[in-house]
Amino acid sequence: MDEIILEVKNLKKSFRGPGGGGKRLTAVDGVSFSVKRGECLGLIGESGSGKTTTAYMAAGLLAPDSGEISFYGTHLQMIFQDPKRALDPRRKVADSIGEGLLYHRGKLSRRQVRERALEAMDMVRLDRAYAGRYGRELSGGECQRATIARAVMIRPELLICDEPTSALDVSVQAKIIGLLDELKHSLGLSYLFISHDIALVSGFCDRVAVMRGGRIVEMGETADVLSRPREEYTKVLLDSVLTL
Amino acid sequence: MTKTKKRAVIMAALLAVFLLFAVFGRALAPNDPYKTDLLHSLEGPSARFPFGTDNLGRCILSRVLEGASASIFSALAVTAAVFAFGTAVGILAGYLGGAADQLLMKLTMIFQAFPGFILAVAVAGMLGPGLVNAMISLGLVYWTTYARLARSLVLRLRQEPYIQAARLCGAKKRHILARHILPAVLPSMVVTAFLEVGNVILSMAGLSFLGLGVQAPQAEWGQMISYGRSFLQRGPWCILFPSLALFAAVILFNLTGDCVRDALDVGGGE
Amino acid sequence: MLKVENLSASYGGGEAVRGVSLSVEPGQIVGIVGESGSGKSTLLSCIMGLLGDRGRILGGDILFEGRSLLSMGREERRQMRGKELAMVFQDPELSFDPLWTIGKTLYESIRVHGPVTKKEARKRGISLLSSLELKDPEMLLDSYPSQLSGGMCQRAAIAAAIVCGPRLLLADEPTSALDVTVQKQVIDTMMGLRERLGTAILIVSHNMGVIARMADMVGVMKDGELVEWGEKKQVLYSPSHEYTKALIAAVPRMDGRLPHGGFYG
Repeated sequence: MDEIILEVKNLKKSFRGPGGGGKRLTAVDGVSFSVKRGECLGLIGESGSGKTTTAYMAAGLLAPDSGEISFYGTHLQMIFQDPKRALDPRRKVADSIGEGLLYHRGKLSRRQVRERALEAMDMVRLDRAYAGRYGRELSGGECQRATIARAVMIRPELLICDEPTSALDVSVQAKIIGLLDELKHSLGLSYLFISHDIALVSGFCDRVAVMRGGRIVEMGETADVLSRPREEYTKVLLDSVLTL
Repeated sequence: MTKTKKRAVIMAALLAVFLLFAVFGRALAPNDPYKTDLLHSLEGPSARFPFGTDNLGRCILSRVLEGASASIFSALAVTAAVFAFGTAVGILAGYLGGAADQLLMKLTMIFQAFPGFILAVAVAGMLGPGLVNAMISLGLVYWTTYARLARSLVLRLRQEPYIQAARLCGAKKRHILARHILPAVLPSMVVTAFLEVGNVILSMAGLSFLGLGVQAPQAEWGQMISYGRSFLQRGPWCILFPSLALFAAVILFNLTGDCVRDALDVGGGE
Repeated sequence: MLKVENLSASYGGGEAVRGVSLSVEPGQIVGIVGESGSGKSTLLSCIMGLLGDRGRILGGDILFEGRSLLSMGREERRQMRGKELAMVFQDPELSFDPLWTIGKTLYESIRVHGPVTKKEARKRGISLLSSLELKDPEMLLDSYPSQLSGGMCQRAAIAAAIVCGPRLLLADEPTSALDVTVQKQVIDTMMGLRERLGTAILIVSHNMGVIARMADMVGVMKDGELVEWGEKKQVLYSPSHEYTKALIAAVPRMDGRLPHGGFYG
């Protein structure tokens, strides 16, 4: 359980400011954390705190200005915030899901890839009848199931989720979270889970890191951080949580 | 069938008829377009010469039909060439970014710094008159439109989560270009091409009008209009009919372009 | 004060609101929860008279202080907007003209309902903004919408909506585009409105937490119908309708457990 799957050290990233001037905006300013095998680490913060940029760098989709990222597994995958934009609107759902395996198929034929895609659809409880539909014909929740199916096709060890349920209705959100939790156990997945919803993180994550202004201000076991926050900002954040 | 599709089919049919006229122009011509007959010089429309004759007694209808292929097919060839070249360059620059992109942007900026038609005139003037040289000069003017459009489309697309997801699935650049980017970019590019054909036809006629394109005696609409100017008073039909043909061709391509845009939007958007 | 009676309306082809009845008493905060496509926004558009070309009222009536809004003329309706009932939207920046300062927006809002000098309008603006406990009202009046943060902008939008003293404020997802810490400030601003000015509020949201914090009465909408209606305590904490129960079970809590998604399917 203590084996580390992802470790990032002192990540930094800045972007060119608006207007093309020389000013650079620092998005991530020295972030370090690690995710253990089978663990779910939550990254919470408000907009502009740098959590999405951190996720993209951890996934290898964005090059950091400086810092180290070590991934000790073979595959990692990512789930995106806007499920509709995470599926190619011009491709059929089964083709999109099959893409997960397409470039790693070894001796598998295209037909076998398709069969595996259908199996993945069963795993995420997406009706096989959707296989021949286009991405744009699916609801948000169905799209997100399809992207999860694509992600688990090559049996990744780590799933990076960037606000995977923010664009969904609460009842759909609950189902998707239930699905992610189930996959955690059945496939032994580890998660880096980015969210602004502290209540959601409280139920899903083992450990949590609170980000603000590109830095991690507090990190620890979820229950500890949420019940006995040490930082003033964490307290403010917890105070503003609205739930039933 | 939806209304837009019905309209698209009608326009496509009209366009096909028009193109058939262009292909079989010579065979359909009632008279030899090059035969001079000074006895019938500058005659008005009649049963024998439905569009009248010019000062050398050549049949205008026959010359309009004969000229259709030079006017339309040269424009189509130019459009096809700049479409393919511009789109390819734009997609590559947009997707690869970096130095290649910088170079392309600087280059298109230089080309676009000149008013398009003036540039074409200058280039055609340098290369010397002739159909092929006119086509080359128009190609130099029009390719930047496609390159810039394709580049901007790709720049927006490459940020899309589904492209990022493909990268995480292990897709190489060529996979992403072929599987995701090209299919997304092509419809807009095709629509642009359709809408631009009319412009190219006009520019081609313009170059010929100025004596930089098709040379006399070969029939071409722009060249016929230029030639007919001298007898505007005595034989207005010398200009009227080639102008009408030009007008019809441009309108037809523009309307078809609109239909194609509507049709593709229905299929590729929401 | 506001009575919606058996209202049905279509929007964009489908029947978006089906036979909805509810009422808002003076000084009351009424919350409507529902998921996307439940018809909750269409309901607000009907009341405000903002349905536009894509929507149509099919039946029922909307009474405001006994007068039917639906049988009113265009001009009468326009006169009521801003003065008797006002509205705030999800994206505050879109409800402002980006080229006007907040002060000018307030001045124009007052002016459409009667003559006023700029000086007078400014004075009213400052006293309004300070009564909403917004810091530095002078500077706020001279700012453009794009210079304000999302939360500040939304609070300014609330101020602009109530500057003519409407007795009912309609709010369509007023906090959904905002960060949690800012969300709370906007909610506090709206609650303060009721406390100080006695403004009644009809708020529509998909966020149960927001409704739980603000509302006295709660309605739950699903597929255009109001499936449950009653006091907050009853609807949110001992719901009777199956859908309400499922919706409440799906809300994430701070109890370290996963939200309940019901049976998979």
